[in-house]
Amino acid sequence: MAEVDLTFDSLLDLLRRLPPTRVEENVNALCDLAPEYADDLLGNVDQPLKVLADGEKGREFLGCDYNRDGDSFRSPWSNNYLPTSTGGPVPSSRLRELEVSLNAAFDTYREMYFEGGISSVYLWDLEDDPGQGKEMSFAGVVLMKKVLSTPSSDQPETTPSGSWDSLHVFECQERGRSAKYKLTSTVMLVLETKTLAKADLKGVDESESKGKGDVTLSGSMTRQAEVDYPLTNSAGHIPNIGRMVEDMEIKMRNLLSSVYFGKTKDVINELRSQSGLEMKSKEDLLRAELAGKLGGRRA
Amino acid sequence: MAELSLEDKCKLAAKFVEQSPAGEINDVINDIRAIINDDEALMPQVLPTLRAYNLAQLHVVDHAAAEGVPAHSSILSEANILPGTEGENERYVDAEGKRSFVFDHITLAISDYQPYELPEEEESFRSALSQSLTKYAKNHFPSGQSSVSCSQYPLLPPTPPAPTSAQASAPASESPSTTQLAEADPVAEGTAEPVTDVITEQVNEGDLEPAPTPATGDVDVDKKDELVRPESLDQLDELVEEAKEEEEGVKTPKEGTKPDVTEVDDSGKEEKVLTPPTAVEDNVETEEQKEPVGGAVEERKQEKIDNPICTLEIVGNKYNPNNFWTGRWRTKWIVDKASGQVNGDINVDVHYYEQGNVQLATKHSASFPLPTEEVGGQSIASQIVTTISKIETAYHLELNDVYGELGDKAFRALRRALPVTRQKMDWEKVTGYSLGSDLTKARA
Repeated sequence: MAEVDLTFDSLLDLLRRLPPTRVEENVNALCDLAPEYADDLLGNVDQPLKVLADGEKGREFLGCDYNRDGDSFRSPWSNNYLPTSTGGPVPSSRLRELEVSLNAAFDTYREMYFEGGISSVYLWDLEDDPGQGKEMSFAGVVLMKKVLSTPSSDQPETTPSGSWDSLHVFECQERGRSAKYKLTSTVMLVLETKTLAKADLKGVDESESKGKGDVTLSGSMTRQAEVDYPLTNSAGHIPNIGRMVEDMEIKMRNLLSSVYFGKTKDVINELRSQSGLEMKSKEDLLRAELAGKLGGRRA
Repeated sequence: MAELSLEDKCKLAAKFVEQSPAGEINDVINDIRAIINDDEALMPQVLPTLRAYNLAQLHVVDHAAAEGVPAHSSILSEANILPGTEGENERYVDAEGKRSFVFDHITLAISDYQPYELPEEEESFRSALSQSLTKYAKNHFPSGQSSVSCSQYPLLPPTPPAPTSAQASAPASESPSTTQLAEADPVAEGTAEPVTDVITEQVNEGDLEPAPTPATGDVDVDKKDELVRPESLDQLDELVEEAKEEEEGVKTPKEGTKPDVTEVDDSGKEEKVLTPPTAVEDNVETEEQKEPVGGAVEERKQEKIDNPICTLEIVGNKYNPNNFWTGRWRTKWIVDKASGQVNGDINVDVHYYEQGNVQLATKHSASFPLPTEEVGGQSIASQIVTTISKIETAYHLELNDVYGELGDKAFRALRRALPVTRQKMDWEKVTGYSLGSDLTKARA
């Protein structure tokens, strides 16, 4: 058993190291390498959300492992598995009612924060015999996706493009007049742009000096949280889940901002010194000298 | 779905090596070893992908101090493959140490140093570039390693005084431990000691002593047909003469050669069509002569290409696994006299993996015309490196600007920090709001 876990750990470790932009291709390859772990891999590794169409309702919805049955995905709008009906699991009727309300609420949330994109919420029962007990126990996932397409011809070449995918998987246990929520959130973010740096040489024809490049910042981050909220009726889950997801996304957006734009930029400046190390050591000397003088004055 | 064969699995697994972030190659290899769980089947498949990785990622090898050469480092790259060597006989050039060596990509062991010397003309330009580039790299890359290589064939190695002494000196060039390392089962080696990115003292002192003479008496001399093994000093002199003549572009009939050396033109010399200047590598003038004397010993003349290219490379690595980040800046500039251009590629890769997996990958290409003459006392080599430095500085600045662009515009365009109202959602009233789809309609 221990050995089995080691293999699975290695599969996950590998995916934590390989480029996030190639996660789908890599997960497929790993499923071929270790078919016995394919289900565990697909269930444990977050991949970019699939965009699917619900023709009947005329709306797009999101697909992930939680609403998948074979090659079909359940639409939150029609409750049908698409593109081919599979007779896959659907939530109990009172959970489906909550699912419909949550989809409507997160549609508003999506519009306010993403100003576009697609959202979907899926719920599933955790009880063996749902609808019988007074206290519900269920799980769900809130999905958000937005894509900024590559610049069109009338936009500057360096207009950035990118995508945001977030998955908020939660479990809820009602306990009398409150409910306990356990949340695991993952955000996958890709940002891309072009670079144009080139030599600016005197007396050299502009066309003879060229520069062109691509920058890709990509990744995924996962965080967890546990909250207890009061609950008076089953509609109370909407503000509870809403607040929990909103707080987490705000927190993760800040985190992504500091890691994506702060940390990786710092590392670049560790790799190469812009001003030159000679200059830097001179500055350090000057600073030390100044500090010494100031120190002397204070004394 | 039929399960893949073990061999196909190993090939598939070995492909992951190419995607490894800077400084994490051992982790990646250990992961795929655990997944395949059959080193004997896996490692032969890993070898070619690992070789490709080391060359593409400009793997730095450390050379201990040896006779007249202080301890230093060199870079493995396509450009540093010794011209005329390939496959099993592949050797890498350590231009600073004026040596070539064999590298085991699995054990990272260096062995079989042999002298390497470029013709004077190429060496003077190469070393001028190298001096300038080293200065630039030292000033801007805290952990940078630079290298300048030239695609020209090196001069033929000096002839040993006499075959007998060469025979005697041959074993010295390959001390027992080198042989052991080279012949050790790569799997066993890998298992016992995971490969490291930094070369430790895997090779003992003896190996680092360059052999006083080229190993003419090598047992596998017939395999090393790429290397010229002149039989005697006077033959070498002829070879050098010829080499000089070729350098000057003069084709003289080899009348001075010994009677038993066949005429070049009779020996089926291939007259290669001069290829376009961009395909310099193919533009090889080969003059081969079979020498009946000495039986199996095969002789080859000094080879030479027109317009050899010089490749300038810098790699700056920083690994900080304790703080979950690694990074690598790679720079490769090719000085191509034939096209009159200097073409460069810059790659920056950063991995941040604390509770996540965030990677920055950049690739930038730039080119500028090759300077043709000294300007204000500044040599051509120095002008080239100055321009490289300017472009890399401009690129570095641009990257810093890109962060602002991505952070301010793209990130906000994907998801706002707060709604336009600058307030969080009022979830209690959410059912009272008109729904998102209505908002979308209203906006449109």
